[in-house]
Amino acid sequence: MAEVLDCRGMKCPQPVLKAAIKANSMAAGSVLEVRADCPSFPSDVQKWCADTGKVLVSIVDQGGYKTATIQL
Amino acid sequence: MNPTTNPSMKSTMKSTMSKTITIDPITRLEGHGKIDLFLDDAGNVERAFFQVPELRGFESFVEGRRSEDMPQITSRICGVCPSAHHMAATKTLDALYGVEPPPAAETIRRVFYNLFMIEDHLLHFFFLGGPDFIVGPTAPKAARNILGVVEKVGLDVSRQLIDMRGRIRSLMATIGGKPIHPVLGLPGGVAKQLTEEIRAELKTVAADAVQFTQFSLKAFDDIVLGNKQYVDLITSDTYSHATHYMGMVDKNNCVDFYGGEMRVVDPYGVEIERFREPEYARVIAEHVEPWSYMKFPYLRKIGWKGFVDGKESGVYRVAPLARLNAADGMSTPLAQQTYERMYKTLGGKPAHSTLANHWARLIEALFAAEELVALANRQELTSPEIRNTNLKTPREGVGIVEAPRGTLIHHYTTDERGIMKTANLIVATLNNAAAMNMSVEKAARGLVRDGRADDGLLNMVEMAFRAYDPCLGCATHCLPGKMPLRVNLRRSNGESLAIITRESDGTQRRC
Repeated sequence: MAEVLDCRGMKCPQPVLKAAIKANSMAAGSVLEVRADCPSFPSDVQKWCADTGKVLVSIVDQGGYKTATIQL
Repeated sequence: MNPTTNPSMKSTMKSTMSKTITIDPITRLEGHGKIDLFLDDAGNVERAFFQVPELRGFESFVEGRRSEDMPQITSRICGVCPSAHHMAATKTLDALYGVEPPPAAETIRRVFYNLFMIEDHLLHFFFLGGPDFIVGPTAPKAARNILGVVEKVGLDVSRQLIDMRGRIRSLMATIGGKPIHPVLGLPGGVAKQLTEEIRAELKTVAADAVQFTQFSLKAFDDIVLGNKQYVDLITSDTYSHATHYMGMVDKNNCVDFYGGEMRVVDPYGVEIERFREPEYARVIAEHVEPWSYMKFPYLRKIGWKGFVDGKESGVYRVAPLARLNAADGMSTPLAQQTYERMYKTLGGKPAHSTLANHWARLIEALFAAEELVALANRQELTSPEIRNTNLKTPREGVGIVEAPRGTLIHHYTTDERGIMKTANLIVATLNNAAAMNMSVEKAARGLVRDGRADDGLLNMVEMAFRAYDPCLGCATHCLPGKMPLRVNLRRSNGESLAIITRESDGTQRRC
């Protein structure tokens, strides 16, 4: 079961900041789902995953916001 | 700022039966302040107080806010040095989230910061402090302002000045999003990659800035150093204090505005402290007086001994002259030449002449311009690697930069979500608070004699604080005791009914 982090309404860099803080309190291997509507969120979350060795499972356009699913 | 050209805000001088001279408001600075001179029976100055009657209180109202908003919130403290607060807050976020920015991000930050240092130093020299020398310390007050400077230096030079500052601020807007209240800094990096087009523009602006700052130094040479009266004034005991000095230095002990170690030297130039950001509280403590919203930092290892100078006093100074005193030199060739010349002229290092801050300020502007030339040629400037997102759980962070008017320290603590619990802002002007009071008092004692104090003399008292380029809006976040208040009750026709006052200790009076 994924933990959900709703970052809609937040601007860069806040979604990734919040995701990073949340991820630090979760176990390795668990799944985090981040929802955000900031235009730079997809590239930000991709870079964060690449920098920190996390698996970006998917980014899905939900119409008005995007959901990134990340395995820690 | 308090323009002297605005009739409604002119400095007022009033003498009372109790032999007090009040300069209120003081002018050509950021923020609001006043000076009270208390005279003895012979009409000589017994005590002088440089007071700050405004309260900004940012340390308190940022509590509960998101830490990542701090670069935006703190840049609203002041319209003159928002970039300094933005950068100090950004560096504090780096520490808070445990991330090192990549080389390109640090280079971009340094570019932005050097642009800011140049335009801010030019602002002070030509608009705020400079009129005292360019127009004259005792010139009619209606002329001691930028319009007087324009008249003195001519329209061509004035156009060059406005053009130079305009181009710098335009480039700052391109890089930082806005010329004031930038949105550049992020924890672990910057928000925007630079293009080759911006690099090309930067190279042109940097080269022109080197020329213009050299021109400004030449103007200082001609107008100030070429006038023996001015040189005597700068080197006079009236404007001198032998204090400790603090400034940031690079690995070669040269002046650094953005990153490096902090160095403190004693009045003889001997290094007595060296520290990095997280250690600042080991070195600096803060003293509170009930008559000012400013706190008075001092060197912890020496202690607070009152408003006195010397090796045994914990009072230290920051700002351009202090930075040059605390360093061994400048890392760029032209600035190093002028640095050596300044100390030769002033009779050695460290120099204690408060008014020499104006000279040091221009040397720093030249240094910033020269450093910009070097930064513009760095390969990594246009690299896309501008952020390190390997963020850790936040707890506590300290960031320090050298603001134009001296060392600026931000210290935040947060909860594990990054929500602000505490903020401590030791700003440049705060670091100089004790020294500014001492400088005003010493100048007043030297200048106001036998109860005689005309407008020119009182301006020369103001010159003692103006040399520090104080930013009082940045510096007033402390509320000792209860807020002093004075209420005038009047009828609708203006007739006074009563005056109610409350002192900082809570005592109320009605008369």
